[in-house]
Amino acid sequence: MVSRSGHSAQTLAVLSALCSTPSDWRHGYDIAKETGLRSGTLYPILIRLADRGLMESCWEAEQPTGRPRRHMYRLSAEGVVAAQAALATSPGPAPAPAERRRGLAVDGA
Amino acid sequence: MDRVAALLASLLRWSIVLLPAGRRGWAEAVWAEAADVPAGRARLSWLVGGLLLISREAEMVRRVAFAIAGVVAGALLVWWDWHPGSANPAMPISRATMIGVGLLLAVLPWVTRPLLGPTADNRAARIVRVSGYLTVYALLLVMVGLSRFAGSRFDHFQAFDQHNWEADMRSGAVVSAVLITVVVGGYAAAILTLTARRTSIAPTTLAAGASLGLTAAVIVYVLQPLGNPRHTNWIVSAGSGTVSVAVLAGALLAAGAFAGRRIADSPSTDPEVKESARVRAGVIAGLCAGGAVALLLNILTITTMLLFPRHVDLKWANPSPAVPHGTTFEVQMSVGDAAVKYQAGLLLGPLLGCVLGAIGGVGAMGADKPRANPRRRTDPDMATTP
Repeated sequence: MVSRSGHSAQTLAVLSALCSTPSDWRHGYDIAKETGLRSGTLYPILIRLADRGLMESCWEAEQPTGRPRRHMYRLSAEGVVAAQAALATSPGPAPAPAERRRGLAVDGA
Repeated sequence: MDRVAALLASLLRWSIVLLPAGRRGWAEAVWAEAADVPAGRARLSWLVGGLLLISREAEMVRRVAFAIAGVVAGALLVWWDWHPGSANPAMPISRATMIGVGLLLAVLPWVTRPLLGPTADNRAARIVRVSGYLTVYALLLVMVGLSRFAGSRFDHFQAFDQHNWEADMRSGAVVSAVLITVVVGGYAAAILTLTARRTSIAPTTLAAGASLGLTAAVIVYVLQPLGNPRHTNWIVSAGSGTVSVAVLAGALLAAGAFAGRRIADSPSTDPEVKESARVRAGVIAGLCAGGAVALLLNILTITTMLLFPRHVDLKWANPSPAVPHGTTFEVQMSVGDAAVKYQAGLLLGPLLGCVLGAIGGVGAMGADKPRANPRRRTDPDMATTP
């Protein structure tokens, strides 16, 4: 389903998650947990957002012990403006699939 | 379940190389974060999602489907060409050639992709690539048909000097094998190069070249092989030939002129840059037009000769007026001889297209003035010119 802003419900969920703390770098699994999206759905959305210049990405600077370095994401300045506009014009934040399955109410960003 | 997850993680890690360099980081991110996902179904689901991501980003489904279709088409051609019971000593070489060319066509898109990139992101490139490749397969199909028709006269052939005749047939088959591989491989490589993202050919240049070439081929086919029974006297025959030559040359010149005019109308003010860009665009458009003419004219004409050999103007292989003409052996031989002339066009068409296209591109220089329509200002042919 596509909202009036032209974004799918899943993309709005990702934008909402990233927009809640726009200055923080977040990793993919963290966003997946918040939105309830699977990796096969989440990553194409992240790729599209990065291709459009709405999102910045980088690898963790230092190698952590016991796990590989993570890829980190946050909205660009342009992305924050676009996300706020998209979320403002959408009828309401889309319920994340995991939350839909559990029948929980959605916490709007 | 942990073993399955470990297997999927390894598969994901090794599949990353299938992605273009700019996309690998995303799949590496999925792989790196799999360790954070709780073990069990959640991690399996995460890893499967990563594999789906690679499949989507690498366009694996489409590429594999095209490769399978290519291999199947090649196998069908080899099977059709593999008629049993022939005493023709050239047959093993012909069969090996068909297998080699079928494999070449199936492998070329995979081999050229790292060098040229994927198909350019416009409709003209996609249409030219798919239809061009299909046309190359159609050319192979008529070549196999010709080999079966014209070559079958040797099925039970006994020569006066059998040893020399066999050696002669084998050497001829080797020359044919090299020519067929070079021509078919060259056409396939040209189609892949002209429609690739990294070559950045303007969609209008591709579209103009291909459509003008196809139009010219259909007109010439209607006038010459198809219209042959209407050539009742030399005036009609000569007129038809003259119009055909004019249409062919006109199409190649027009393709170059059209592509060159697009450059001439661009806002760059450096005349040297413009001139070289015009020549380049003209050559590319002429190459497309010449290749399209040659391919389509070969396919249509040889198909007509195979289905209706007496419809076309065959020159009898035995020139003596004292012998009765039209035996099956002579028809098969004459069709083979006539087809060679059209097959030579497969080499001449693109070459002539490059020359006349360049002339057409340079001839478009009279239009150096600013355009009224700002949407048509940019042209990839200009952008890629050094």
